[in-house]
Amino acid sequence: MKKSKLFLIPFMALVLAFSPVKDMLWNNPKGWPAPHYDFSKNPLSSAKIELGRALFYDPILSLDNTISCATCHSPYNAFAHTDHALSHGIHDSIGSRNAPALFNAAWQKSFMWDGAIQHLDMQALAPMSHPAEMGEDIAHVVIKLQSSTIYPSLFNRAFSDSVITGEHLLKAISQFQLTLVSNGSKYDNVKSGGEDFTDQENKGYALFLKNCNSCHAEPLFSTFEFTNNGLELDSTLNDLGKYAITHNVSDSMKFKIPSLRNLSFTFPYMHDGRFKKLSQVINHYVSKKNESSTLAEQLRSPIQLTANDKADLISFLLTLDDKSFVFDAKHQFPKEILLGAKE
Amino acid sequence: MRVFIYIISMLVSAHMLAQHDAIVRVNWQSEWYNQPFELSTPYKTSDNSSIEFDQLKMYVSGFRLLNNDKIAWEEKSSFHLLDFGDTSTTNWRWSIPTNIDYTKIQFTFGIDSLTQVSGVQGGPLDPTTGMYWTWQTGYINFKLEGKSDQCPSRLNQFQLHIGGYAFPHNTSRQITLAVNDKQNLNFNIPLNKLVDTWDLTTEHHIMSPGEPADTCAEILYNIIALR
Repeated sequence: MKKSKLFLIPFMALVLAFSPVKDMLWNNPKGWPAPHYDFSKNPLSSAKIELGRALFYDPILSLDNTISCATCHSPYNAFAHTDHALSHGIHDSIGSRNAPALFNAAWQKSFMWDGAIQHLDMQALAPMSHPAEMGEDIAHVVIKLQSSTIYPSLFNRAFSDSVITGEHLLKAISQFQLTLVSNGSKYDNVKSGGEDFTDQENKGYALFLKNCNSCHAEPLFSTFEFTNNGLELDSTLNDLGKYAITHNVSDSMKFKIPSLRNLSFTFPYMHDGRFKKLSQVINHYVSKKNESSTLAEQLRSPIQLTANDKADLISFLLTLDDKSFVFDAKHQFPKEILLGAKE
Repeated sequence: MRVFIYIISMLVSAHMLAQHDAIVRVNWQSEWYNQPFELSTPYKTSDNSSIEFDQLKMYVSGFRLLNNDKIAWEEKSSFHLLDFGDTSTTNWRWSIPTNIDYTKIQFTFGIDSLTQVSGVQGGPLDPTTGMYWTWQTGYINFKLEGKSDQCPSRLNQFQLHIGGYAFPHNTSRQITLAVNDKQNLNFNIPLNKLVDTWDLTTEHHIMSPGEPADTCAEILYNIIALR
């Protein structure tokens, strides 16, 4: 390199040093919208992500040290609670809702089936504190972490401060969750030109676009808005959805629209897990719904599908399964951290 | 002699140059019928019910000094969690430039709506303070707990957790007060004025946003004053 150009080296080093780290650790999928999460308030770093991953799998977050986030958000099941209609927590308590699959959180504006939580950072506080889930108090979690053999140094590496705070705890958990991005399904491969749908999948895709896309919009397969999709009220749960938070009658029976990605891993379906099979879900949509002032416009008449249509639609939905996400070792239990050191 | 005068004048001018900041002392107090308020102390209400308080906490934020209606000075990262059981939280000092003049002080009772939805923060805003609702978004702007023989609840307890940041139940409110002593801002909350207008026999538990919380907040906005 010419001597006159040598000055470029420190200049480039400076540029790299001050580039937002988030850009290097965040790969926004091509063609996807920008994330909703404000990274400037919590820039991604490997140390914070790894700390968040350790915390996610550590039952120390619960009152009796038996329940971790991964208990209800299992990595082998796209971070859902497969085969559980309602999740369970400490003392085998049964909750009132089905744990949603955790992926693509960066694009979501609100969290929980009823939209109770307006920011990802604060979401973990809800299950941590719920008596039927982890039953703890974040102040007490911080005390437990501070007196552990591994966490003060992990927090120091991540936040340059070995004094653990609620703020740092929640920010680390957010960072791990933000890295759970699912965009490697067959559908994604087809869209980027890497392969083709089968004829059946193509037919299913056309049916999807006609009947489902307005709520389950591509590429996230949800608008993440709240709708009443005509489910009958379960009188053993009396769950009115968003109404419980807003007390607004127009929000009665409205629940957050979940993504349709990874359905093979995340059954049973709906906020209370009432449908074990996709065929049951589809049959719900082709059935007549109860008249309700809050029922979604698109569902006021039943969707028309023949038996063949239903099979085609399901075959399309299966192209949204993302094995590369589910089997990604980066998201799995961190053996080195949590099994390396004994308390 | 000349050297002596020279040294003295240097010291005097150095001293004068150093004095470009004025100290403002801020102090928050609560009172019960004009007596300093204390937790775990038996009191009587206006209708002779007995009452005792275990917790009195509130958020105040966004402090600004106004010259008539113009902002003369603003506190940075202006969030304070007042805990009337811990005097280290109820008084502090500001260093402000001496050349600014102000006639009023403006602040927010509670935490403003934008901060409420901006993600987790630290210090007085850390969720470990117990002033953030775990089951939904939002800070508890004001927390008052205790017991009174007029409460029919378990252990005669009352728990007023006043919060809500979104329309139509927003309990955060900007308050502006005229300043009399510029160097000493002594805020006062005459707690008896809240309790004597509040029906603890029926409204002894407020744990979510709504009309009862709005009504309680409205009373508080009107009784917070500067001595």
